[in-house]
Amino acid sequence: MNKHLLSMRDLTSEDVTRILDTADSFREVGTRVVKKVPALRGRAVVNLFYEDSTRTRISFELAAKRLSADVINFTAAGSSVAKGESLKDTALTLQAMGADAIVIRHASSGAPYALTQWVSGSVLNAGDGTHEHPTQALLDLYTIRERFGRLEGLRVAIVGDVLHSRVARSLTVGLATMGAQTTLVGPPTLLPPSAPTWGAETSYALDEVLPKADVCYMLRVQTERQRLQFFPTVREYARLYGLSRERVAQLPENAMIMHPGPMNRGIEIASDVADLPQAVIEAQVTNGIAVRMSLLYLMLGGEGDA
Amino acid sequence: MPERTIFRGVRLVDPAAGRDEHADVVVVDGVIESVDPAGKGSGTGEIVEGDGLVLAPGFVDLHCHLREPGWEDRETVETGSRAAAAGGFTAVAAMANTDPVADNAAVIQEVLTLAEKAGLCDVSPVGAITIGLAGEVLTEMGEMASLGVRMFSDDGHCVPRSRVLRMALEYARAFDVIIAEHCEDTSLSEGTHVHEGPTSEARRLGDTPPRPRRSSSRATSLWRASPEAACTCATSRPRGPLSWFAGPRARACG
Repeated sequence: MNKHLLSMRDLTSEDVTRILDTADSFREVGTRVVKKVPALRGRAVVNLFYEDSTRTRISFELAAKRLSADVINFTAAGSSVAKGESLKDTALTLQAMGADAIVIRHASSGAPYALTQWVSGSVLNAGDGTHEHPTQALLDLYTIRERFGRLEGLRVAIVGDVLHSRVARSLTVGLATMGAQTTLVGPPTLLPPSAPTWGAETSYALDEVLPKADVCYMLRVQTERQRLQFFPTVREYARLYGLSRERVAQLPENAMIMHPGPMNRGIEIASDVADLPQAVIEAQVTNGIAVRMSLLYLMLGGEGDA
Repeated sequence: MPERTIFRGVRLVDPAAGRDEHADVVVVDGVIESVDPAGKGSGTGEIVEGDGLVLAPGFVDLHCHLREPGWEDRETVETGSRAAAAGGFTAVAAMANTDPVADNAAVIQEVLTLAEKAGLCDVSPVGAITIGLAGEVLTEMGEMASLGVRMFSDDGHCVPRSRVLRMALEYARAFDVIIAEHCEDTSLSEGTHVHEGPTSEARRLGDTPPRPRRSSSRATSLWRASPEAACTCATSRPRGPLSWFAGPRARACG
């Protein structure tokens, strides 16, 4: 296992399989009355969150606690960052305090990489700018594999603001690593010109892609993008790229609907669609804890530096 | 009985087929049956003496103004269609500078309905690129394209902000449409009448500094940066009529 987790590009299909298999064994822990194992007792995990987050931060916190690690939550607001401390000085402080792992979310792409230059512990990227969000990709891969029993050969449509989505970047790379076929769908303004190099196809026509999709993965669209003219109106966006009941009917019967959250009900996903049994959005959250336990366990030497 | 018409001795002009000749053209039930050298066409039917007349495929006007809704005192879809048909135009693209502006599906639908009612030629309403032709906020091109709009233009207004124009060019790629941009930098041409040169100098007319239409290079470079985006550019003359370069899709003309 790599020392750090910065990008899905760093993981081979063997790595991914190992992470998901290990997550399988940890998922059972979450169903116990006492949801705790002693694997990381005495190890310190720092959650270093420079950006707002609900599910990722709580998920990492729960994952570390269920492994009996000591968890420190650090948010930019109310810390020395608010007094102007640089990322480097904060990192050196945490280093001096003996953090074994640092989970970082930052608005700047590449911040986790910078962190690896200053600390000796493991760095886990919990979302950096518009770059990558590998733990989200892994929990999504886990959720898809759990349903279909495999990843290879599956057809996945990732729909929406791909250009600014760290989730889409990581997931597309992960799916390609595992042999699934991805089609990135959205208005041309929100699809990156480099998409072909991610190992994915692109389409501007959601209705043409849906009938062939085993998984329909809806991305959150920020209404801020409208102001910047990436699309003319939220109404037109929803009409062209929103997952409505009518569009769900075009999906194959056993298709899955996913969303990384937080959802904009009524924009990228109709409110009633989000509540359909095919929508596995809560399962994604539940699986996120097991996958993060797996990562912390493997990276913090549950099995040494294997 | 099939309806048979013989156009006798017309000057047949069809640039696409490389034709410019005098001919007899026989039309049966609205379909050309034969084209023979003048004097060789035969058979019965209504005879149209074509001496001094030109017979050509229907003309298409990519830039006209039918003024409706809003300016019915100048023109209506019906009167404009009538003029088009009288002049040999079988299809016209109606510019978006109506009142209200054709920047939404409701106005487009209104023009289509009026054109169907007139029933004299094909009318393709042109959708605005930006709301109110103001150059700031993109229109709902997707919804207008779903009604059949195939060209978007802010008419005689340029889209002054390069970012907005770039987004329009890229966004349009989803819909098999073209963006027709009026390439003029108004900061160069404001208050002017003619191009700068000996004529403007001799008469001391307000003139436009060297070729304001060079601003079209902006659209051309945007197009090069995004070659799949379709762009047809009109170059501007000071206050004069626009000269159109109606190229095939995805050709930028400067």
